[in-house]
Amino acid sequence: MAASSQIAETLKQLKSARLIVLTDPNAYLQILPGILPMVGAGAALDLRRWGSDFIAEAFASPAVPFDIKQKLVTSVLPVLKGYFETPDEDTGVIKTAVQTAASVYQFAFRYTINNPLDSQTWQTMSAIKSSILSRVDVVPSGVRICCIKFLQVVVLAQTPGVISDPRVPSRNEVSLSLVPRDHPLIPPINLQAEATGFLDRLLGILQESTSDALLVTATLNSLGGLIRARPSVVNKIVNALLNFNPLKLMNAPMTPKNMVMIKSMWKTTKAVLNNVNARFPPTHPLHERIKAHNKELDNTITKAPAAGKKRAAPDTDEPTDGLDHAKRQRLGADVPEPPAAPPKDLTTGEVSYADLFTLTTNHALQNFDVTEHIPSPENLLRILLPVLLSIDKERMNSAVNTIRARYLALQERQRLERLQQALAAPASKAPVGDDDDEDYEPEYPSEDGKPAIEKTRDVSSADNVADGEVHALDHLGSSSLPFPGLLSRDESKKLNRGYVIKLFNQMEGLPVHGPQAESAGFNRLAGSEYDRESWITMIARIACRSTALDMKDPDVKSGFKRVLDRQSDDDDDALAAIREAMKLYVLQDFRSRLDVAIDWLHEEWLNDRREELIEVPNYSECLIALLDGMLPYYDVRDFKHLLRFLGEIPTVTMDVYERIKNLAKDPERVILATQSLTYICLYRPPSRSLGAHSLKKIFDDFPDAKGAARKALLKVWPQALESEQPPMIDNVAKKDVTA
Amino acid sequence: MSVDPRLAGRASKPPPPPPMESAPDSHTMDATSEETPQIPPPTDGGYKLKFCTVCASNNNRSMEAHLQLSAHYPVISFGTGSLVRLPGPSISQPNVYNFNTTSYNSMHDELASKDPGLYKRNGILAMLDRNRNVKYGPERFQDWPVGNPRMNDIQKTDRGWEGTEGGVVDIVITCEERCWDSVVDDLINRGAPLNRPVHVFNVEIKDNHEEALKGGQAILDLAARLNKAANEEREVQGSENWDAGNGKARGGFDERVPEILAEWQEKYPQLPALWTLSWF
Repeated sequence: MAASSQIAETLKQLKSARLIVLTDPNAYLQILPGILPMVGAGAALDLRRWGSDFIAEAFASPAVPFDIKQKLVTSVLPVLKGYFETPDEDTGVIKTAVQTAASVYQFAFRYTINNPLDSQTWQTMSAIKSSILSRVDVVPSGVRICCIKFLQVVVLAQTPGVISDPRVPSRNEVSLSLVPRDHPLIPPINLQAEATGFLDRLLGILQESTSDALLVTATLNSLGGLIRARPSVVNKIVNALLNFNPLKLMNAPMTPKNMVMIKSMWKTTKAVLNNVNARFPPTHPLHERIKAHNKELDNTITKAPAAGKKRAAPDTDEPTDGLDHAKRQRLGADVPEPPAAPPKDLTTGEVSYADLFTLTTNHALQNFDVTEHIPSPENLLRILLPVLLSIDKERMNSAVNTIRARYLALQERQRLERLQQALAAPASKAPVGDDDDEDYEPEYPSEDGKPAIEKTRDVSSADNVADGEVHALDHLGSSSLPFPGLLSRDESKKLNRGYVIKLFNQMEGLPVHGPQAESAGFNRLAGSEYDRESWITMIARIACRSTALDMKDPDVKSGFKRVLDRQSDDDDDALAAIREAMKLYVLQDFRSRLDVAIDWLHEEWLNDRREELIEVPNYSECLIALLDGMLPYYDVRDFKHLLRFLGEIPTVTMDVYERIKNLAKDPERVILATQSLTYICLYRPPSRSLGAHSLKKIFDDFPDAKGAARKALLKVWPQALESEQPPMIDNVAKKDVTA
Repeated sequence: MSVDPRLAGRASKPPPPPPMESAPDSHTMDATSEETPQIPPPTDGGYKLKFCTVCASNNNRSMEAHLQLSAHYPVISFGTGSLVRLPGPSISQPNVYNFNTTSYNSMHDELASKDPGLYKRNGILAMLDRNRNVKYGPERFQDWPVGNPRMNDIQKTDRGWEGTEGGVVDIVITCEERCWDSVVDDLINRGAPLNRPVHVFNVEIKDNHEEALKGGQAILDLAARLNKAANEEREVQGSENWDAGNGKARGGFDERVPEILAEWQEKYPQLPALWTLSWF
């Protein structure tokens, strides 16, 4: 009793002392050192509690001048250390002591900077620091939050800050920037490393302790001070804040306490982020991110069913006069089904994708929004896959067909609408003679796979208003291209010719022979290399071996003729066009493209033989066409060229002899004719008699060529000159065979 | 959600008070009958949390709560607006005063001389009369130098001054979410130089006399619950080991706050509450 009354008496004195210092803060300098021994570690609990509060107040109060606090540091630190070292110290005392330590730290730090030789003070402070650090994870949360604040203060002091005025060191904020590099007690590098570790520890709380709103909000609110004063760590902190999910607890049961904590963490996170964002200029890279993050948090919490309210409000649609539809099935009551809502009529009005694909007649299902009820794609997948697996195949097929039919109907409807609009568009709006109308409009095949012919009539009837249609489409804003029309015959031919020309253009730049063609010899495969020869082979085979044609069909056999006889036959086909093009290709430069001609003719001949056509009709046609093209241009100097041509073609037909014989009509080319025939007689023995007879005809028919013909006949058939009547040619020799 | 105080002037007369017999608000009645009497009256020995109430203009809601709390606890009050705005003759003509320098008394006298009938009808004069008996004048939260001793003669006459001499509080209770936002933001901006934790609550109260009265009672109930928990923490002194805090020691005052608020919220679902731990 005596002790307690004594304590009460002491407290009364202490309180009056406090009133003095509150009125005159300068009095702390005298009063605090006097009070410290009375409230130290060994004092009664009430005195310690009062004392710790008093010391905390002294160092926290903005009314107490810095100088006084600075002077009091050395005397206060041992008392603080005493509190921490007292076993079973009262939580309240410890809590206040940690707060005091946080307030004192900057003064101890500054004192040590200015007194590098006084290791005692810094050692005491370090002991307090390590005492707090070692217990930060084991103390009650109420004390722990104060430890967190202490960590924040240490980070603040031990990271580089801004020196506002180097001339007045005492006015500057305490930071690592004030510490000399060679300080014996507090080397800046160590301090900075320590601060980095502490900051990580602070930010780690956000990741670990999401279920303790007290810790989280205390941490969040303390980070504000760091962001404000230490630009160097702002990015790190903001990133941690953006990664922090204050709504994690929403997965836990929604107890009232959890709801309070979720709301608390959400609002505090928002408040801190907004505070940070207010410092950033709108151009700062994090500005928009923070804004978006806050918005996302808002969305999440407003979508959460239990956020902010304990139970979902009763559905306003719930019928009050009858049975709730959701309960009917369970009750088994005989109530009529809800009126079926038929799928939307697609023949009029706007049609959405939902309308197109909705098959159900259930009104509730029609309005079901997947994105709203199942926001997570994972969940959707989890539901969708088993459903798809269990679907009846026939029903699925019929549903797909229904949709397909609707889609086609819809397409048709849209097309008709477009046409109507195009027709309705005033013709005056269509610019006349506008170059833009000749814009590239590719003629794509119809996208729905329908045969283009179905559409042809409609589209071609709209040809007259094509210009108007283009502009009408602009008004429609539709992105679909106009349906391509059917090709007319002329267009088709034109295009065919284009393709054929493209085939030949392809040869430009190709080497005449590929690298292997020279060495492969008989093992060479035609068309196996990407050179001109292969390409020619390919084109020739396209022309002569097309599988679509029956070569025994007499019409087909004379394909080449049809090309040449365009007037009578407009059933122009691609094969004839290719042959025509090939002929033109050779004739364009027949002197250098002799090999092309020879290759082509060999292919033609071979194919005719392959088809067992004894007459080789295609070959003959091609050969004569070529020869007719070349002969007018031959003169004496082309002697070797003609010889080579005649020498390399597979078969020399009767028509060839006829053509060559006629060369002798021209006195200048008599030599060309007679020598070519001589060559045939000498070097293509099976043709010998035919050649000789041709020479004889020259001799007989063309008086101007008699001399040359005689000379040649002397060489190959002297008997013809001896008897003016040459012997009859046997029928077998009407054609020769390849040498 | 709040009602613009200026709109109060448009109501020709305040709604009639609800009949007391029918117990219009059982929550409020419970609050006073069950919780409040348990709180011991202020004596020298009893530990009390220190409170601070905040609203927009430091006139209606915060002052009502200030009055009610001051009967039992140390309490101060503030407003977070830029100016004190009171309803005027029309919505576009509010009466505007500066914070910190204008007294409730001068406002009262000015309005009484302007149009006593109007301001009597809309309850402004009665409100200012109440306020001038509580403290000198409206103070702005953002201008409050936290930790500066409140020892001058004017402050000493404030109701609930005793215990607030040090210029700090343990609990801040705002009456509108906008004010809570301002308080939390302001505390972050201050940079927490005092290293002192403070629980910042919001109790959403509509800005009219009726709701302010109910809200004040609910705040008093919350205060009682918090104070009780804080006292319980102090009573189990010594058994809590600084090194090995476990069991009940874990359930200290601060960590019990969310739970206390949740319990309180169950009782007052019409007053949505919010809380965070911030720093002075």
